Amino acid sequence: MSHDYQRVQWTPFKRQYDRWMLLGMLLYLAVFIAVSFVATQGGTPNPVQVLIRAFGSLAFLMLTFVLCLGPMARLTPRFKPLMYNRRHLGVATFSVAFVHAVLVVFWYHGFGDLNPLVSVLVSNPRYDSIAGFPFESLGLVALLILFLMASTSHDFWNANLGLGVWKFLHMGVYLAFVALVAHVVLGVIQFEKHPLYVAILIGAAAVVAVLHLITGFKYFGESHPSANEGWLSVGSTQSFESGAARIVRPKHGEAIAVFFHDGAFYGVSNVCRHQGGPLGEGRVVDGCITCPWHGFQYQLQDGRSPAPFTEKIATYATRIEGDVVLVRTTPNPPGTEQAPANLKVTA
Amino acid sequence: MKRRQRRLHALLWLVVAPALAIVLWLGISHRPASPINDALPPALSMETH
Repeated sequence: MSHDYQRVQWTPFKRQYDRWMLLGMLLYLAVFIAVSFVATQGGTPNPVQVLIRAFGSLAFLMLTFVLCLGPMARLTPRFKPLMYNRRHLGVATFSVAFVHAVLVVFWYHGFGDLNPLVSVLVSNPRYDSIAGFPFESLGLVALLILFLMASTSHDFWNANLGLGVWKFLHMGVYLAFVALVAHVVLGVIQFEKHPLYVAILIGAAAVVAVLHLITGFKYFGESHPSANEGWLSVGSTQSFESGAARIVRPKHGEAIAVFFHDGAFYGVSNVCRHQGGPLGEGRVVDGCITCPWHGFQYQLQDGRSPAPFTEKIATYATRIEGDVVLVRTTPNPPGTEQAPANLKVTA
Repeated sequence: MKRRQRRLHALLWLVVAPALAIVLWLGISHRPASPINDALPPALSMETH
């Protein structure tokens, strides 16, 4: 977390995550190349062109998968473990796209008089045509955005740019996805007649769009109850699961997560200091609230990250009235110790 | 995610989703029915190389 910057803070889970990711990528490339050689009729396909398509399609599918992870994790907790190291998937996606781009530049633009990089930009000036559009420029736009995101994916940039700027910058991935879809539809789809290509492209774009629209509508459909004399009802004491939280969203201010742990109710901000992850969707691990996105931890009683880390989140007062847990809507300053409402004392 | 960012994210997709649909519709509806190489930009056509 924040006490020091290391290149990558490796954990056994991260290593396992990356092993599965690499295995999946290699498996896809192997199957794609094998099928290309087996299924091609009338001669052997060009190995470089097969590699270009293998890396290009892998980058497209990986970006589609990365974009689906966020909304899927919001809709079902089953996908939350995949969110932990989503940035590794993002950097790997850029690397695969980069290999695709290098192969394209040298194979299609490397044998002329012009500099290959200049040739990419000037060899096809048909910007007024749809079928003949220089789709490579759209791929270049997507690649540059992915590069910007991959190079700022480290916590160093997260901390120094600030969460708001960093998040805004990384929303550029949606622009990259639109550019990538345009790159594919104006490129390979223009001359590949097999309907499978069109079906995969439309399917991928539709899944990403529908998942984000569903989570977007879910946001607009959320209720924002008004507080009664500064206190908000969270739910009955029986409705809490041990080690987990219920989230309330007051009319004004940020969402509040109320955790139930060891017979007591703790109110904290629902927003992780790292990347704004939904803390209330995380669990209590080793006595600390653990963010479901990247595993940042906070102590229940004061919202401080355990030493040597220095992050702090706001805490909230809680109380039990009858069978109902209430939380105060005014936050304490981040890192303030707050006694929890205790079920054992009340009972 | 902060409330402001969640709202921005939700509103953004009201723009991104139609943009995706338009791009797909334009690209697919303008596919040439002619032989493959006619559709290729000059840099990609086999004749160029």
